Amino acid sequence: MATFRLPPFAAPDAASFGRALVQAAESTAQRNPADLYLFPGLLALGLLPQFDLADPEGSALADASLKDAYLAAGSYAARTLGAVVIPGTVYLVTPQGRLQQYAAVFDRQGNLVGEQLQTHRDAVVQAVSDEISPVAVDAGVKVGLLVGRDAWYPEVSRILTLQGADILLAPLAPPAPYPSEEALWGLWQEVQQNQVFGVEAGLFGMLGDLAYAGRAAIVAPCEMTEDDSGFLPRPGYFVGTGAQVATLRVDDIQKVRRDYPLLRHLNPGLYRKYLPLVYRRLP
Amino acid sequence: MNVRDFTLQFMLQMRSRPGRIAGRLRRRGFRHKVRTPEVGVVRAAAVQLEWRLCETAEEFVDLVYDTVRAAVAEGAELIAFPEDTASLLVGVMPGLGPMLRRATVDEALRQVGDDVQVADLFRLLGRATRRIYETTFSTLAHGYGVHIAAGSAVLPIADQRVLNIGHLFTPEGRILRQTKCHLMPLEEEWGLAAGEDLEVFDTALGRIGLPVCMDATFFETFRILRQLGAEIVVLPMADPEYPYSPWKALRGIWPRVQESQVFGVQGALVGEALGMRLTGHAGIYAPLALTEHGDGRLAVSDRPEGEAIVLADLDVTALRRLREEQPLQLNPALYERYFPRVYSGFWRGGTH
Repeated sequence: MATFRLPPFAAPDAASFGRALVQAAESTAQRNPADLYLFPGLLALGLLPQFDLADPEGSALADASLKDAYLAAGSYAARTLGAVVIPGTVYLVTPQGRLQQYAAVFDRQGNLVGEQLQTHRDAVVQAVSDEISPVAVDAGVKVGLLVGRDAWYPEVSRILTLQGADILLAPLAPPAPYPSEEALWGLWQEVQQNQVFGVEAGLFGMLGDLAYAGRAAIVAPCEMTEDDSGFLPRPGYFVGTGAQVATLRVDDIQKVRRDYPLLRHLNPGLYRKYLPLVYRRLP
Repeated sequence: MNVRDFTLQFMLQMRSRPGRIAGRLRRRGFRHKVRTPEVGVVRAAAVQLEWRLCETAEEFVDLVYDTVRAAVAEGAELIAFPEDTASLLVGVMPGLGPMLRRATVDEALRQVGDDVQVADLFRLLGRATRRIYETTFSTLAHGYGVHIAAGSAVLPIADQRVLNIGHLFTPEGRILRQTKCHLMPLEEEWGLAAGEDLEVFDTALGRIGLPVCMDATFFETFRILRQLGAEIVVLPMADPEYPYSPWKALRGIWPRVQESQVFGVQGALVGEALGMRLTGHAGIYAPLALTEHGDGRLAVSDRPEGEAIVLADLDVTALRRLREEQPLQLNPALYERYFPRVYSGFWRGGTH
């Protein structure tokens, strides 16, 4: 498993974006080839240096070819690397001119095997999906995608986990500042309360006028790390440039779940009474 | 009831007479510093209490009195005790105190009989525990004019189930109760039952939720409470995690406060208790944006062992403003689509 902290790629077209993905992966692969590469969110916006989030309809984001370029590059990278690839995320624009955030999963042959739209609105993304499912990627391993702010809504990780996800993948592009405390109550926390692996990729640097401050991390339940931190590799969130690599064995997660079956202590009788009805209340 | 049981109950009732307890507290008095409360701001105290065996009601009463008095002296209006505060009272059971000094509660009970569960002990002690516990805290809440979240007490209810129940005592004499909904494995072994209701209580200090310890491991608890209107969540805890792990401790109240935009006040029971070594911090938590250092901590005890009282002001007005400025962007359509299915699949024995 490899995840990245990278600045936006200044790639003028799909082919160069795909090559940039492969190049970043190969710098890691020379040392330690990975079965899955997770790239930061919004990396593909480097294809559109003139984008304007305040005016998506009027900007180049409205160009459907952006999604096509993103998909072509992701497929190329997966094929070339012979690995599962999530090429970050990309913005899409609805016919009403509202932004969505989208991520795709490619198998080792470059086939599109999973797609996910962000499910919770944020300051930028105003059109969201109400569908979410894990994606089977390899040897029975299922991954769940946390797109954008979804990593901070525990409902998403819970739904994915109870549908069988073993690994939560968060290709993020958090605006600066992004302090470690905010990161900790995102993916790290979801990993702990669901006993799954989690992988976070982070965009950093400037994209247009916006500053991003992503981090990268590979996280496991605290019980799986000697120092209890849950970070694989240690010591914690990576804030350099490049990749973080770790080997995740789903069998190890199963052992943690057997030793302490946390989710056996869920209280469905309680939830049945209040969820989802209580969400219709506006406190 | 046979003669032995009758005698035992008689002794327990004599040891837990409310008049004696209230009289002792009144004799000690309720002098306190008068503080003019700020509108919309609640001064909270979180208590870190070292477990000890109280073999008489008076020992318990004095301990609680001293703790409350110290918090009130600092201007506290809401005082939060740890989970299982009432467990200090198992020592009032005749003969059990000396046994518990030498053995765990399970070992001690095995000397009584192979089929005796810990829950049976709580059933036997229930009436006396309730009298001492409720009389002590309600007298103090009224006497000092403060709200006391008295941690929790393991008590039998009418249908013979034994529950771990959080309590809040108000100055006007109300006793508000919340049953723990997510049990630790040990509590299940002990024969306790879990609750299936959550409530938010309207008080003079704001809207308060009272889940108990392990309830904070599951985001669902705080989310339900938030949606029911909670602004302050008081969480009594007693964590049998030794040695203390700051990372594992980070899986409780702190992220729940962030996810749900509430204040969190956590009392912690520490020390050797019934064969366990308990560690943890008393602490008061807030959303990151409402804390000086952006770390979500308003006040946290220095060490995860030993006794402490930490205090902080909860600015409920600022919390309401934050919620308006940064509202949660929930997606009910998503939850309606999946929750009934994923939870009920799990209910039927599904695994992940």
